[in-house]
Parts: sequence; structure tokens; C-alpha cells
Amino acid sequence: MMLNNSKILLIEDDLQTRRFLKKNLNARGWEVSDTASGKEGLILLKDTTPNLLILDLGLPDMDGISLIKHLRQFSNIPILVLSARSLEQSKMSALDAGADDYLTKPFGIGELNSRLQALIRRINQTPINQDIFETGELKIDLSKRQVFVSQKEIKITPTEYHILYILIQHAGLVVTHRYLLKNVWGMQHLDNQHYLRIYMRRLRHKIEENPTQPRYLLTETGVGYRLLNNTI
Amino acid sequence: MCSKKTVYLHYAGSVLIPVLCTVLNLVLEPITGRTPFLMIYLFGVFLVASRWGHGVSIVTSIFSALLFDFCFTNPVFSLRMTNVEDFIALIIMMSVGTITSNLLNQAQNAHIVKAKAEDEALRNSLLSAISHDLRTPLTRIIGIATTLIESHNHISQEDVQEFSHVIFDESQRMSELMNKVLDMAKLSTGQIVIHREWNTLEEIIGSALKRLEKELSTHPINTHLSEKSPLIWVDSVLFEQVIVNLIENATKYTPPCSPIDIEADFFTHYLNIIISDYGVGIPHSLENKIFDKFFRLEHETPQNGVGLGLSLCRSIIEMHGGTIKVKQVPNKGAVFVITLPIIQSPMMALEE
Repeated sequence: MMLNNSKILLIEDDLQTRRFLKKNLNARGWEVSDTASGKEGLILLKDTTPNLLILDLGLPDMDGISLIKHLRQFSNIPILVLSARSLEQSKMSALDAGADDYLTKPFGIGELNSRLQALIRRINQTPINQDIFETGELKIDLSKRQVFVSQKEIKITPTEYHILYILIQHAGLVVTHRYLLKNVWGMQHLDNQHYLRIYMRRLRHKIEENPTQPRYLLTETGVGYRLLNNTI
Repeated sequence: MCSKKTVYLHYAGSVLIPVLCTVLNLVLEPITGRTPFLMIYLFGVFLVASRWGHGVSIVTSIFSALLFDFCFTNPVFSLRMTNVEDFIALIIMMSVGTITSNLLNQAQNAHIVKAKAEDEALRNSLLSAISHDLRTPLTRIIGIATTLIESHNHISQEDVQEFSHVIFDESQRMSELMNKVLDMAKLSTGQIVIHREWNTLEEIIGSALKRLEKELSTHPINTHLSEKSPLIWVDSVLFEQVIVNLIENATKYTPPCSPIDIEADFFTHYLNIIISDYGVGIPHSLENKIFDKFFRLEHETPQNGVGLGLSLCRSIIEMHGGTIKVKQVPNKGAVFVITLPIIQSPMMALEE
């Protein structure tokens, strides 16, 4: 699945990383503009009107998080953040500031491609407009609010459905704990992480064949959850 | 180490303390007689020696002797001494004071020397472990990269593929090693802030297993966790690392196809998480040693790691107020038991 005139803006200060990313993206049909500087990135964003942004959080001239906050004031562009490991906090801040997903350095090109595919899917059509969402043996009929695993209908509570629904809207992308808590239980429950943990366990016991080795409801430790999407 | 000002204060104290002892003796004299006098002076000397060191305490002991001689020996209020007993007592007091402060001084020095030696040993093993473990993968990567550069296309596509895989695997290994060293450095310098949240054990074990997907392709996993188990109050990132390290060890030290068991037992005030394999196990004599930094079994190859995994586990578990131990279980290999206190989890209104 590709976009017409698909253009990527790549903001990454390491030259070699930029080179190999560019090569790979070009090979997959993307038109890539790239820069090592955040300030120049903002200019390129206006000039080249890309469909997607890949942003390294550790830029020399600008803090990545403030860059996201700034550009979110005028742009809806999907943002994939590249960040160093063991900085869960900065990943969270980036997602809260408006980034759509992240990749932890070092990463393989396979991971990058699957993230990009998930993002493209979001731009092209939100699965919400479809009636059926399917991934592996899991099938959800969004018009009837029914959930099936291997053709069998699973009884599911309204809250469980709500969580699943949000994850489907972001299929393949990470959804933060905060986002789920805010949208399922409301702002006043942002600190009630245990709600989410308990419901997620129940959902997994209903949907997953082996809840300790989930296939669909994946954990992004310290950050959130990701619904596997192998339809893309 | 000490500023000049502190040194002056110490010497002032070394004079003041014998004076205080003298006052105390004068107060006590009507009640106790002269018997405890020397003991009280000695106590003063001991106090100074233990707090302010050798040099200062000698001043105290000399000054104490002079005051004792001046105030309490005949003739009183003179430094002359007529009584032989008083003279001997004075000599003993001075000797004891000097010897005590000497001993204390030596003990303190020995402590510093030992701490320095431990630091040094740690630094050395860190350097040797890192240089050894980084050099092996680097040798392979550099070797392959130069082969590719020099080949001028006289190399088969198959070889290129194979070489690329080796480069990938070796870099992966270096990346993991670096993560462990960084984690250890952060933990031991107190840079890691523990971020505790309510978690399900199931989820943490699940994401640990996901991270080890590749390693576990050759090892079946049996998990026995209760569905209704209480929530645990842990830092999910750090705790997941503990589980990853333990399972990773099990995959490294057992033959392919050998299963790995993960169980959890919940009690009223604590829970046990038990991760066990069916390999050769850990000898009784090494049960504690394996948690030391950079401890490695002698026959280990670089593939087996740098000797930080278990040490990290112990640091993290202790940060959570728990313990990690090796247990000997018949018919099993290495058995690790993590014990964590259970904290009452908050209630929530569940639907239906």
C-alpha cells in the first residue's frame, strides 16, 4: 500500500543513518527530503509538504519534543520518532506531544517498514470506516460490536470493547496508557493505571490463545499497547 | 580531606575534652573517690582517637596526663609527683591512649585500602570484560567488512548474505552488551529512578517472552500463573529486564529443546516468581557468587555474556524490596526464586 506522490521528510543528525534510511525509503518508492537540523526541518516541512515525518529526538540544534509541539500547532502530519533505548520517558513525552509512533535505536529496516505501513494505513483510511476489522484469527464487526476469535463469538463488556475499539483505530501503532485511560475512563482517572492493567488482562484471556504470549494485544513496556495488524 | 578550620576545631576539642573530664572527676570525687579518674580520662582519649584520628588524640592524652598530675596527684596543683603509683598509672594511661588511637587509625586505613582495592578490582574486571566481549564481535565485523571491501565483486551472492547475517548478529550482541553495561553504570551511580506502577505479572512476563522470541524458538516455555493473581507494584521496564535476563540465561546454559518453566506463587504478604530450567544447574558453592558483578564461570565463551545479567537482577529486585536466590530442586537445573512483598492493590469497580 502506498500513497500517491508519497513524500517523506527525514530529520536525523547522523549522516550515515540518514544515508541508509534514504536508500531504503527510495527503494520503496518514497521521495525523501532530509536534513540534520530541526530548524531546517521546519522550513522543509512547509516547502515540500511531505506526507510523513521521521524525526530523530536527539537533534543538536533543537529539542525533538518542542519541535513536535511546535509543528502540531499547524500540521497533522504523521510523525514517527526515532529515539535511544532506555528513555521511556522521552518516548512518552514525544507521543503525548503528538508523535504517532516510535522506533528504538538501533532498529532493523523491517521494523521501520512495518511502522511506516501502519502510519500509511492511518492516512489512507481509518479502519473505523470499515465494518470489519480482521487480524489473524481475530475479527471484529464494528457495526454490530461483535468480536470473533476463530469464527466463534466472544462475549465482551462495553469497557473491553471500548479499549479494543481505540486500539483498532490505531491498529499497528502504539497507544499510550494515558491515551487509553483518558478516552475510556476520562481525565480524572489518568492515574488509575490499574484499571487498564486489569481490563487488558481480561481482554487477553478472552482473545488470546495464550495470554502470557499474546499475538494480538502487544505490550510496549512502560509506554502502552499495540494491536497487531497483519492485514497491511 | 579536612579543611584547615576543621583541623583547628579538632585540636581545640582535644584540649577541651580533658578539661571536661577533669570537671567530671571533680564532681564525682565526693561520690566515687579517685578510682574512676584515669578511666574517665582514657574514655576522653578514646573518643578523640575514634572521631578525629591519631594526631589529635596524642595531644588529648598528653593534656589529660598533665591535668591528672596537676589536679589529683600529690602534691596537688603542681606538676611534681611524689607517689609512684600515680606515676605508673599516668604512664599506662598515656600508653593505652596512644595504642588505642594507633589501632583505630590502622583499622580505618585498612578499610580505605580495602575499599580502594575493591574499586580497582571492579574497574579491572569491567575493562577486561568489556574489551574482551567487544573485541570478539568487532573482530568479526571488521574482518567481514574488509573482506567485502577488498573482494571487488569476486564474491558470491550467498557469501554476501551469510556475511551480512554475521554482521547483524554480532552488532546485535554488542548492542545488548552495551545496554547491560549502561544499565549497571546507571544503577550503581543511582541514576535510575524507579518508576513503580500497578502491573500484572502476566503482562510483564508476556513482553519479556516477546523480546526473547528469537532465543526461545528452540526452547519451549511452560508458564503457570494464576489468572486471578493480584497486581504487583513494580517498575515494569526494570522488572521486565530481570525476567529477560533470567530466561536468557536459561536459554544460554541449556541445550536446545530443553524447556524453561515460569511459575508464580502468591501468598498473603509476598509472592514468589520461580524461573527454572533443566540444565546442569548452579553448584551449591556458587549460589551467592553468581550474583556478583562480572562473575563468570570459567569455561564460558564470549557468547555467554559479560557477567552482569544476574548482578543487575539482584540490584533491581533489591530496589523493589525483594530478594533473588538460587534454590536446589531435584530433577531441575538452575532454579531462581524472586520473592517480592505484596502491597495491597487499589480496588476498582468492575462492570458486570
